[in-house]
Amino acid sequence: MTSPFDLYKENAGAFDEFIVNSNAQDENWLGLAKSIENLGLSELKRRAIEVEQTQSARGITFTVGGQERTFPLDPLPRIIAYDEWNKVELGLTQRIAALEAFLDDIYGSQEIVRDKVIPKRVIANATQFSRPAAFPLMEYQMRITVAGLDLIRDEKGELVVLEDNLRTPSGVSYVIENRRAMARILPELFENYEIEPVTDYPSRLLASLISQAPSQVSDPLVVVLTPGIYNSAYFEHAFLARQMGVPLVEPRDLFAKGNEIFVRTTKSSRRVDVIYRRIDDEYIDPVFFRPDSYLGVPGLVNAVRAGGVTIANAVGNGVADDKLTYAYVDEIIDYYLHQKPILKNIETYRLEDSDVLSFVVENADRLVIKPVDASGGKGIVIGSQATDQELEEVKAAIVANPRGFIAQRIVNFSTIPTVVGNNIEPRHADLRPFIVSSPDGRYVVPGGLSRVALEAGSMVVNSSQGGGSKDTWIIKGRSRQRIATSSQLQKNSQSQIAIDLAKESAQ
Amino acid sequence: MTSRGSIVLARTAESLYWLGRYMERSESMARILDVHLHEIIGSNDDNEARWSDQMSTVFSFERNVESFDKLALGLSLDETVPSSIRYSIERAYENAKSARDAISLEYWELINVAFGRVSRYTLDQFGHGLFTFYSIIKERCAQGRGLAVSTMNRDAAWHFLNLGYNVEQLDILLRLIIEKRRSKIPEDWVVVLRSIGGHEAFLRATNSPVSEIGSLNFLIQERIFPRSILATMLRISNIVNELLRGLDESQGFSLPPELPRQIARLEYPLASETGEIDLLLDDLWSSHLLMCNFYYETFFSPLSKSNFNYPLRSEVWR
Amino acid sequence: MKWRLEIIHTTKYTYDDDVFSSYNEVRMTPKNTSNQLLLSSSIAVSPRASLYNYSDYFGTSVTYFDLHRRHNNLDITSLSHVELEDPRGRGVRLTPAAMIGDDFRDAFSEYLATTTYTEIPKEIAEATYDSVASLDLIEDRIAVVMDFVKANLAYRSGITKVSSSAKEALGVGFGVCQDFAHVAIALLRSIGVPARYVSGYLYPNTDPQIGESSTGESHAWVEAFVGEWIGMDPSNGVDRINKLYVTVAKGRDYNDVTPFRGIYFGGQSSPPIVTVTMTRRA
Repeated sequence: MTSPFDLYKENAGAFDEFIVNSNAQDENWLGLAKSIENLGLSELKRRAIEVEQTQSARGITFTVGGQERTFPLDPLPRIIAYDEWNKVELGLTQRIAALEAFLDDIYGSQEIVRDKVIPKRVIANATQFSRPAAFPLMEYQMRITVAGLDLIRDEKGELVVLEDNLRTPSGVSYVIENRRAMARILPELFENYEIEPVTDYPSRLLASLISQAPSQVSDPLVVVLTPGIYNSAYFEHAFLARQMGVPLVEPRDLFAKGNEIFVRTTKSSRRVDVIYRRIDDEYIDPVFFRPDSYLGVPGLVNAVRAGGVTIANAVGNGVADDKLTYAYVDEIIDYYLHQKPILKNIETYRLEDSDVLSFVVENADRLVIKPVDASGGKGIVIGSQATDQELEEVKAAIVANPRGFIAQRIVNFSTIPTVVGNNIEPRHADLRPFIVSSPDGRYVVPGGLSRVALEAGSMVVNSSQGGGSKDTWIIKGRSRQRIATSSQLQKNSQSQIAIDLAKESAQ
Repeated sequence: MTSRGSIVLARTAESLYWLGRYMERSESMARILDVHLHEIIGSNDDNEARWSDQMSTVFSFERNVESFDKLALGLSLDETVPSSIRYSIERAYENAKSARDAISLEYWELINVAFGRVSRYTLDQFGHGLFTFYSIIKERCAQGRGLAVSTMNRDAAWHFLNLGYNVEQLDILLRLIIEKRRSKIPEDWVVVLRSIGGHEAFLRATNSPVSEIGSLNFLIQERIFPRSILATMLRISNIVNELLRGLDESQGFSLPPELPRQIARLEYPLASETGEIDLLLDDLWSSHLLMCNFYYETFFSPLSKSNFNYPLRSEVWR
Repeated sequence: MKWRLEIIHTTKYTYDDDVFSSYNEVRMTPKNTSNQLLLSSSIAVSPRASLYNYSDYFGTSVTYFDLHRRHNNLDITSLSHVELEDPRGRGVRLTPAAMIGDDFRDAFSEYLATTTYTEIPKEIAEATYDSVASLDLIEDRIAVVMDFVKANLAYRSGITKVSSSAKEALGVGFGVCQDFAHVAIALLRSIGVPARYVSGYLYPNTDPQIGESSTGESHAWVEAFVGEWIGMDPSNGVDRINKLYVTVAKGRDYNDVTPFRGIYFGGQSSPPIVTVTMTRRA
């Protein structure tokens, strides 16, 4: 029998996660390939289509330009080795801890500026530096309750940070739904592998939100705040509210009175203690931000300031995921934690230096140019793929506003086997892990959302621009039920059993 | 049950209420238009003209069209007509989405799929095949109602949804009877009975041929016919009482006397004279409007009376 | 010589229809500065509301309140006593050369960056920069800016709006104190001098007697950093402010110091009736 992987060839230059790992005799990747061979590609696709239809019926969709779309799930999972993941997890928590301290500092005494670790202008001139948010939080509150970082695997195979998303990162609902879908598409593999579960996320998030309720409240009311049914991520907002068992509210359901927030119910109103908000800062409170915005809850920011309510994420986080701030994250980690960064950044050009600016202008066709304050891939120009006109426009834009952009080396990031038509082909994918922070600690969803560019050679993975997704498996070991086929495997599974037994007896 | 579990947002309650109303409206309209369209085949031009007029009034269709076919098409698939079935299905979908966390997965899936299907239909596609369209709608809506009944907890969310269904049922039936009475054509009553799926029920219950006064009796006060005005009002009364039980007594809301008064009145035999029945119908209609207002004041008002109905303004002074 | 002033600042809004709720911030409490001591202050609001005070990013005292009962009038009264003397600078002056260093520009980046209010045409910014380039004293450079404002902007109310930018004011050639301040700030920043917006009150009587009340006015002027912050009033062509000027708030532009800002739901308001009564008490 021929395997659909027989014809699989990597893209030149990029690190292919299947080829490298299978050449290294990685049991998990080989096992996956073997299972697909046994199953046959057409059966795999049949199951995937069936699952997609169910997802579509259930409304597991996002909205682009008014159209509801499902987020295509590639039926081949991505596997990340357990040991590597442990290191990534440490790196993520380290990074978030440092950025949390950074936000506290710059919305307080700004010691990092005084100590000249970061120039004042990086903060003062950041569009997302929010002066109305410049007040200390209560000790039980976090600024970055939920973070979703974008990682890519570089040419050498190392996972590096591409972007920090510390405002209202989305995608975690797809992580959970994808796992549920994969259990239906490849049940065989779930029996064989011990995959780290992702379904804990909603309860971890709820626990964090509850722990941040204003003190003295014994049974806090938590709500999820959505802009409404037309928002592109409405499915996720409703999903999280349901999974946490809390009300999903729109701004018009809330009102501020005397520095407390209330929700309008059929039985008059109820005080709200914690708001997990999925509305941008700009639209959250018209007293401060957009006086023309019907979306906001007037008085919310002052209620937060007065300690009457907690909102997660806090207002003003955008200054920490500004892409110019990103260029200083290594310094930020060193400054607040006195540690070496575990996760690397991509080499980034700060355009305020005129020599650097002219270098970037000259080499724009070999670089990626990004607006510092946008998210979702908006405004990004990949030099090697841009038209001459696009290049000229972006050059003019960065010369006019050097603070508004950064430039980075184009990373030929890793590829993963993906079902394309009747073949399996390499496609570029990134990884968005999610980190939930609470005053007691941090939780990283094992794996995260792998977003895959469905066009050959494309590096644009954003769902809004036609990307798909993959379930991401952190495999702890082989499960006990499995009948091992090689001595190597047997050894692994036996040692796993030994570990599990040791754990059980320890409890 | 914890106190948190019993929170129903005013907006969610309103969405559930309208979800129920739009689902019921879609189903009722499909049935009514379907029956009339069938009757028109082999019928005379007078009937067609009269029914066109009646349906235009009942469903607030404000355009002039040359045939019942065209009218039915407009009322079925034209998204620019705010009383069309398609429009109702789209509003039902929006309300379901907005109240997504208060309805069951099964019910939601059905509405989501129905919406997806209807929004792909075009005017030309069903130009000559409205019967198929109506049977799809009727089937989907009936399925939806069944799913709601069988999968939703009997909590406040359910009561608001159910209230919407029943209020719309009452609304359409009253409109239809009042309009049919206006044209004073006795033969129409078979069509009316069929339109609300009550022809067979009538024959079984009364054992007599269809007459105007018999039909009115049956439609207004037949307790064993679930769509009759009395049966519907009794259900509404139960739902509202159930919902009021959940309110703080301090708020001082109680069932308006209108509803028990009308119900008590319908316990007695109807007048045999149609003129008096017309007066009764008008009175029932004003009670219905009063009750609709009461739902807003009592349950949704924290929302509808709230700020955003008034202009948002900003003051900046120098 | 010090003196004490009492300031009563009232703002009255009338609405043509009921207002159902409103959310408001008031910045009307004088600051403590090197030449101004706040002795007492209070803010009163009618209809009655509970007031919440905080100090904002720029150190301004802010009073916030929300109203939830129907009303068609809103009165805000700020009463304060301050002790003032003429500012006595230390006379520290930087050379223009010292102000182009990266460290200097970074430390003052907040007051050197252009905001929406302080945008001016590039040609004007460049021409101003060129015209001061040969001057060695920072004060001479500032004088050029003040002359430019005087030559290009005349005081007239009713032409510009609260939302007008420096560019718009220059375009029409008229403006009020807010516009004078924005234009001066824009020009100062364009020649590399950190500049900030000051809101407050101006006592109209240069030689007031104790107990004498005058009708004062809300006013806006400018501070420039030349080694220390110095205040100047471009609307009145005053090079150095004195104890007639009561400082309330400082920021990058008007937006950071807005005396009254609110969001409300309901009827339309007519322009507020504002009175400022200033009395010398000692």
